[in-house]
Amino acid sequence: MSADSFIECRGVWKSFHRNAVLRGVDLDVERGTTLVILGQSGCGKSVLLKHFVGLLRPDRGSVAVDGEDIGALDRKNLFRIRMRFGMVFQGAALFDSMTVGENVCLALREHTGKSEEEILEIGIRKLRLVGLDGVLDKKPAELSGGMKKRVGIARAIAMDPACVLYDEPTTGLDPIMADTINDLIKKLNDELDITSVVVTHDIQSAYKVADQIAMLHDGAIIFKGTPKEVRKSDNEFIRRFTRGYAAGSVAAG
Amino acid sequence: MEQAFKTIGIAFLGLLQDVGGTVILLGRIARSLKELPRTMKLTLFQMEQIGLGSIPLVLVTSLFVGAVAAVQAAYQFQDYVPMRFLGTVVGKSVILELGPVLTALVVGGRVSASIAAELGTMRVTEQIDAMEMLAIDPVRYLVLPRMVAALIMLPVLTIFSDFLAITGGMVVAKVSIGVSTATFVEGLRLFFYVEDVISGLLKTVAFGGIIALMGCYNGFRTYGGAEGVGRSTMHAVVSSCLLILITNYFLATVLFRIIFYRGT
Ligand SMILES: Nc1ncnc2c1ncn2[C@@H]1O[C@H](COP(=O)(O)OP(=O)(O)O)[C@@H](O)[C@H]1O
Ligand SMILES: [Mg+2]
Repeated sequence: MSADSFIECRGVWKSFHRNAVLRGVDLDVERGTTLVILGQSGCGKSVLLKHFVGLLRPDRGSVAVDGEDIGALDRKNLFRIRMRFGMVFQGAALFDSMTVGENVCLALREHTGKSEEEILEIGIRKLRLVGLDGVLDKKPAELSGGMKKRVGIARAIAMDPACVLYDEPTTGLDPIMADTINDLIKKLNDELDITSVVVTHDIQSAYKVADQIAMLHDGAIIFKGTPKEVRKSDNEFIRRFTRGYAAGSVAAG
Repeated sequence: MEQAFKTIGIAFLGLLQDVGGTVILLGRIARSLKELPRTMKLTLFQMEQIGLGSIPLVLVTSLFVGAVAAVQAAYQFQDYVPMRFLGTVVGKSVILELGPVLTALVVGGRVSASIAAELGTMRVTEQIDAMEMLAIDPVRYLVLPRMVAALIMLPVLTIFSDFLAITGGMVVAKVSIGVSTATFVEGLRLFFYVEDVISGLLKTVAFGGIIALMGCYNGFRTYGGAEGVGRSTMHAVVSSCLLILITNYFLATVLFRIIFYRGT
């Protein structure tokens, strides 16, 4: 199993002040597959995702990417690892002082010696891939939420990463746009043959894109399996989560 | 009682953390300095923002500060000091203190607030994380241009301010005090030392560094949404103003009591 893992988390703990968000997360992301991490809002999904690329460092435990422990790396080597990742942020996190084109092409301009024509051509190609045309000179503020998400995806894949991390790609979108994004994630995985991690609380989206689903609850992974196994699971929390009822948690809390 | 100790303890730890964080940031800026050539375009843009953008503010501030300096000097002179020294006093006070310090305070308010608000917003909307993910060092891309621009533009703005303040004093001297321009300029040239100008400008280089550093440090460590951006902006302005005034005292001591000391 660990032989073909792209990301390996071992006993990852993370606290903010006295709030222990991750309490011993063990998780493998297998190469070439799409893993969906499910969990309630505020349970630490974004925090976990940021540990995969060293945006946050664990208090205890380790994270390895492609067999290399990233805990001990300096900035330069961390950047080398991050070049293999693309990340789509929850709020898209587009640079709002730049145009859409500058956003998508920034990494190409910074890291490749390619000519301006080549870079622009790649930028246009990536934007087409996410279904956007003629938005190159627009500012992020002029775009709708769904368009921002798609520009975020185009920026994430500009450098042809080996792995793309999506933080709640469908949250806050209307159902049709959410489905468009799901299709897009699937298409990218099939066409580009990359490893993907999708963090979400949207169970429909999870069923649609996942090869594997992991459930994050109370700071740990309480379940990992295929969508089919999730549907069949008799774990109380998973049943509640996938069917969406509170089961007296309000009265209890 | 215990509560009071706790509060003081936490405040002290916070201060230590800020000092440490600032020093670490300074170190990272120093190490990214060798990448300045490929960050030149961003630096020029920041020079425009900080320099050109502050001109109206500096213009109004300086004219009126120079004007009031002339009025107050004349009031203190009364019949004891001849009015031909009016230019001397206005020139000295503007070049040594009023020009450098007031320029730094007004530009510092404007610039450190805008830096902290911009970088703070970038932090809370994950734009800084996004930059890290593109393997671009935010210190090099965001902090370095602002730092270099502030270091260069503060002395430039101060020269501009010195001229305007002296002009303001000169106009008031002629119009409402009755000291002719020729007399004023004559006074100005009396006891005019180049060291004064140099030391005034040297101070502003330090002030420029303080302004950019406080703006960037507070922007970077922002957390907690819009409220956090507001808090960081306030901290940036307050800390840069206080540090400017404190640093000014120490630099004045070093420059005028040690380096350029003329007494016995
Ligand atoms: N930088 C931070 N500082 C303090 N607390 C944080 C920070 N980042 C996340 N948290 C806390 O960690 C918890 C999990 O957050 P997050 O991972 O964003 O949840 P989600 O699963 O909705 O993505 C929340 O309680 C949040 O308040
Ligand atoms: Mg989140």
